[in-house]
Amino acid sequence: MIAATHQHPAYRVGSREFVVAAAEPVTPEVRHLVLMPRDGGPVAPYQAGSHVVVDTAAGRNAYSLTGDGSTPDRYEISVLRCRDGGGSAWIHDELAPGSVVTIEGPRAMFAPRYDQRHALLVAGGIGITPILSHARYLARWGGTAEIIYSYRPGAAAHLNEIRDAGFPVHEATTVARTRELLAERFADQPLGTHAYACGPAAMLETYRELGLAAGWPESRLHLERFQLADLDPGEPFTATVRSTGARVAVAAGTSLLDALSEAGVAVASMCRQGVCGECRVGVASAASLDHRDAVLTPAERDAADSIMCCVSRGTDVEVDL
Amino acid sequence: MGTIAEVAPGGLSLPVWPSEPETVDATGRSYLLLGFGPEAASVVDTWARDVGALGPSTIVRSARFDPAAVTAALASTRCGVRIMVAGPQDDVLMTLAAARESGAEPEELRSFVTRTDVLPVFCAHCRATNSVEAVPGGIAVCPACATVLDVHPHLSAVRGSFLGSDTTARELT
Ligand code: FES
Repeated sequence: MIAATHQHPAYRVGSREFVVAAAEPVTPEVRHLVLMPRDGGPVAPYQAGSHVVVDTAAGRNAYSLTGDGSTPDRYEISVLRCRDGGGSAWIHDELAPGSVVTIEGPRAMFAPRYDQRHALLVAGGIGITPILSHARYLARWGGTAEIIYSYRPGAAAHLNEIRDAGFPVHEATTVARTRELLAERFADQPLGTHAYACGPAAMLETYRELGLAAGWPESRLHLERFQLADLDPGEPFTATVRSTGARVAVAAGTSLLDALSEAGVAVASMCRQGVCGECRVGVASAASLDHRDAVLTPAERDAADSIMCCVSRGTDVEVDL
Repeated sequence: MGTIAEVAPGGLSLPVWPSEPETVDATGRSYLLLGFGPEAASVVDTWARDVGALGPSTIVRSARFDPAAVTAALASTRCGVRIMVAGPQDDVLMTLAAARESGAEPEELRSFVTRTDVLPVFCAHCRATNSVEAVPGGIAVCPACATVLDVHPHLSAVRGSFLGSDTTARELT
C-alpha cells in the first residue's frame, strides 16, 4: 500500500478503530453493523462493491460494504453467521453497540466498470451485500440495472432494500429457477452491459457457464467469490527461500503459507482461501506450479512468477522472499 | 481478434489491418455484419455464409458510413452479439468507434479494410470530421473550412479519426 502522507485524512484506508453504532439482525442468521470512526474524523469514500477487513478474535475477515460509496460518514456491513464459528460468530456473539473494532480499507476488488452501459446484478444469499452497493451506486448516479436475487425463503437479507433500489428485481428461491432466470436475462441485455455476481461457488459456476453460453466475453462477467470449492490436500513438495537458501518441506494437507510461517518466514494473509490476493509471493523458479486460487488471471498464471501461497502448490518452488 | 491490434512503431499509434478478412467468432450468439461500398460485398457474403446456423445475423449494406443508421443497428443488438465490419478504412474506423461508444468490447469487434487511401480527419480548426484522401503524416485540405492540414500520425480509436492541424500554425505572420 502506498503511504500517501500528503493526502487529506478523508482518504485514510489503513488500520483504524471504529465504534459499533448499531448491530441489528436483518435475518435470523445475518447481522447488520453500523460502524462510526472512533476518532470522529471523515471516512474514505469507496467504489461500489468494496470491502473492509475486520480484525476479529478469530482472524481477519473481509466484508462487503452495503452503501453507495460516495461521501459516507460511516461504514455498514452485513455478516452471515458461518457454521464453522470463526470471525463471523465473534461478530454475532461478542459485538454490541459501543464495542470497538479495528478495520482496514475500504478496498475495491469488485468495482463497476466506468464505461458500462447497463448492469446485470446477480446475488446469491449473503452475496446480496456488494450487489446492494452496486445497485445503490447506480441509482445514485443515474445508471440502469436489472437484478437477480436468489435466496432461501425467509433467509433473504436486504430484500426490501433491493426491491426499493429502483430497478427491476427477479427473485428465485430454487436452484432450477435461478438457472432459468440467468439464462433468460443473459439472453436479453443491451450491448455494453456488464454483469456482476456474488454468491456461493456453485452459483458463480452456473453464472459463468450461462454467461459464456449466451455469447458474453469473459471481460463482461465480473464476480466476487466468498468461498472456494474444497481443495484436495495435494502432494508434498519442497520450497526454497531465495534470500536465505532455506529449504522448507510442505506436507500434503499443509499450505505453503503455513509451512513458510512455521519455518519463520512470515507472509501476510487474509482469506486463506485463494480469493483475496493478500498472500501473493513471487516465484523465482519452479519445476511446476499448481495454481488453485481465484485471483490470478490466465496470463498471470502462464507467467509463472507468483503464486497465492495459501492454496497453491507446485514442485521445487523457489519463492522470492 | 486484433482489430487495430497494435501500437506501432515507436510511439506512433496507427491501425494495423489484417491482410485477410478476420474469421467469424463462433462463440457469439448473434451477429451484426456491416459492409460499406462494393468491395465489401463479397467479404460480407463470406461472413454471412460462415455465420450460417451459429445464430441470427443482421446484415447492413450501404455505400457510406451513416452515423444514424449504424447507431440504430447497434442499438438493436443484444449482448452476446459479434460485430463485423468491412469497407474502406474511413467507414470501418468510424463504425468501430461507434461500436465502442455503444459499449462493444474489443473481443466483440472484427473488421476488414478494403482500401486504405482514405481516412477520417478531425479538423482542429472547424471541428468537422471528414473523409479525405491522405496518409498519416501527410497533408490534406479540410473539405469543410479549406484549411491545409497536417494529418498527425496517430489514430484516436475513440473518435475513429486522425487529428488535422493547420500546416502553417507554427509560422509567425
Ligand atoms: S490469503 Fe487470500 S489469497 Fe491467500
